[in-house]
Amino acid sequence: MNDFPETESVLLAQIKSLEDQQAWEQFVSIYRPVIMRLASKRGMQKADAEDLTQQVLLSVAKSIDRWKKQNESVRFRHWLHRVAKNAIINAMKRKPRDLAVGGSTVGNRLSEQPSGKDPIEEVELEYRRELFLQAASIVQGEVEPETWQAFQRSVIEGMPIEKVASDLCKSIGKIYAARSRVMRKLKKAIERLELS
Amino acid sequence: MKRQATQFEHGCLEQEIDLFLDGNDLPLHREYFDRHLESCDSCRRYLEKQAADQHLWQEAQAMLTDRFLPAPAAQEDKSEQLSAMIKAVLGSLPRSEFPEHLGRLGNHEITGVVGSGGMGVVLKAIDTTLDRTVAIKVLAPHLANNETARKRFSREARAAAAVIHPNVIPIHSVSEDKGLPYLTMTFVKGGSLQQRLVKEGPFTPAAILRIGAQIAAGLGAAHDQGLVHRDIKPANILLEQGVERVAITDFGLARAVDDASITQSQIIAGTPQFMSPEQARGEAIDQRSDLFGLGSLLYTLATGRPPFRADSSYGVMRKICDDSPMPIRALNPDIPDWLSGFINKLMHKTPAGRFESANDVARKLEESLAHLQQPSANELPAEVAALGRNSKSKVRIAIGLGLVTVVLVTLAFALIFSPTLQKEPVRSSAESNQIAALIANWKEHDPHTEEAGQKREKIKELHAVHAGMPGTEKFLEAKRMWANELLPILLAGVEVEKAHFLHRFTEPFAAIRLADEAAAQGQTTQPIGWDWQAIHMLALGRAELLADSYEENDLLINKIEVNIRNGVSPDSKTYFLGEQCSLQEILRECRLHRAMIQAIHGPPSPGPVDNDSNE
Repeated sequence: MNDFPETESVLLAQIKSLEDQQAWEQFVSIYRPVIMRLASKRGMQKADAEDLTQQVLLSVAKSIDRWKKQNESVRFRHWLHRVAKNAIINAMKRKPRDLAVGGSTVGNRLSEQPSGKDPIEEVELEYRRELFLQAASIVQGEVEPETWQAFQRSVIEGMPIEKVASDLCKSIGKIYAARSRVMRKLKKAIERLELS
Repeated sequence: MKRQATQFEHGCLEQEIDLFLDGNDLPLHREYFDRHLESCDSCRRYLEKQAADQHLWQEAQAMLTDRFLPAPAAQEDKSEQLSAMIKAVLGSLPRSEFPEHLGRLGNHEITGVVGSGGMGVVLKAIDTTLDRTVAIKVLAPHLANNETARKRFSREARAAAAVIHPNVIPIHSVSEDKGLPYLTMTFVKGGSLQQRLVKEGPFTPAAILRIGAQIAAGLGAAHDQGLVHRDIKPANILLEQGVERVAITDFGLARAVDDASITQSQIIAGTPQFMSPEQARGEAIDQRSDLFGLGSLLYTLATGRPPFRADSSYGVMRKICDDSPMPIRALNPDIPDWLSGFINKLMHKTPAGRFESANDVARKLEESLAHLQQPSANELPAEVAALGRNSKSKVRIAIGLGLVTVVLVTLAFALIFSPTLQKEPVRSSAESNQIAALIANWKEHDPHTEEAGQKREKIKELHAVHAGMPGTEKFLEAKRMWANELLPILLAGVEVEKAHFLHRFTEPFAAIRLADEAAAQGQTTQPIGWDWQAIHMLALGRAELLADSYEENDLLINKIEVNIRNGVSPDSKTYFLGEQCSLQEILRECRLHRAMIQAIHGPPSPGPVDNDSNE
């Protein structure tokens, strides 16, 4: 299954409308990292995580045909999102993850995997994270480095505003203004990503 | 800081703020704008609120932290902390004369590490005076520094050493070397029940009875001496030879941990998964608390997973106090109902609801084992048999997907909907016969064939004819009729691909969606079409659209919870799937459904994504 890039372009060619092609590309760019992260959180090796990602994307792509035949009333983007969520959850069911914990040998402790998390929430969470990350890199390129720093330090790193202001040699008022502007841009960028 | 609506004063810049955020030029000097923000609290708050909702600010921090601040995962912390503890203990030991040994402790040469836990480290050692292999438990350094914990450790260990019973690991001695308290015990080769569970999965009923009887007997002996174990869990039960004999270890030691302030070592203090409710609440406990622990342990052996699970210790403890675990037989149908009833009684929320004593439990489990092995020669004790009858009565909806086999009691064939919609039970009519015949015919076909495709079209047509316009009286009646025909198929189990076709007919109608929305706003709603929604959940579940099924379920749960919160009695009844059910009962079913979705282990492939194959 290492022919994925090719598969992907073949699949893409099947999607006739330009709008849908963009939706698919957008979709892959958001979901690929989401699936990769979920997989590596489960302790999968990179290669296995890539396999899994391919499997999920392929299984989604395979059903595009069916969407075309019967679901065209549903918007492609919404449909992709829904189908992908289900595919990821199905894929994640592969490993038994619910064995008892609380053992006292080192081996047990070390091999413990993050589990017990609600898979649906986890998928949603990772999806949101990807939206934020992509939006952040867009916004970071749009604003002055100092403006971004004001946001990163005071919001992401949670530093007190006074400290951020003195570190950057700016007034507190400027920091407030800068970080709010970044936040607004971030919000808009996320909305665009969601709607694209 | 005032937490009221923003109070603007003269000179405030609310209009400018909106312009500024949208990236427009300001009508005033930018310097003035910044300076105003320097001191005006109201404008700052308004600025931030206009930029994005509070929750988005918080989410931004949470979601972006990983990328911009590499933070180590909590999981690593935990194992690091454990290995740090092992290192600390080993580091504090005097050197051994033998280079291959790890150190010396009193008359013992340390040859290896068996494991570590919340309380300390277990080492493998040779007792040089008697030349035998022993296990040594050394109290964790952070506990050893705590005067009370240290004393308690020694005292509890001495008390435990007085218990002589084949199902309790013998303690040879309790000593202290250079301020490090430790105890020596018989070294057991077989590993713990926990390790076996991880390796081999759930146990057979006979093994559960045999192990349970032995643990209960061991507990009985300790209880007779006034001891309480406090931490019965699979990791604390050691296997001697295969599963033929098990022995309890760590009597009363959990108490030493309780005494030390646990907060500083929260992560390694162990999981509270096997605590009793009274223990979780921090109330006084007695021997019956161990019976709860035994129940949780047997539950785990029967199902392969602990009864109460949550992300945090706090979450687990809340569940222990408030929730009933998922029925054992829903997870493992091989467990006889009387055994499941027995375990439930051990896990009764109040001590008085459990058995009389551990000795009583041991006797009953032994008698039940004898019955299981030779049913004709040994009768099941009457009291145990009665426990099976109690647990049988409740109808469960098999919303699980194929792998969860749940006992289905024949549902009343008329599907009776909520009183507000339902005037009379659905009659068997020519129309419903027609549906039944069509569906029965379709069901026989391989979904990929052309014939099946034709049948599907026929069914769709018939549905369109029956249903007419949404919102009309006729529409609802037709929907009821269809649901009536589909429910038995869904309950009995249907292939994923077929379920994909069926779930379209159970799509909730407008009135249900309106109620969902009203409930989302916190409004009380009429119990309209609840069971309809349940059927839809079921259909989605069968179609392996787990996320959708889950969401539908959440909508229903929310409606019921909002109603209860708004003062509707949890005991008030409504029709649900042909029965008069209280809100409480419906809620329980829905939560069960949720838990099932979470618990499902599926096939190894990503599985079908959308299988309405439409040739």
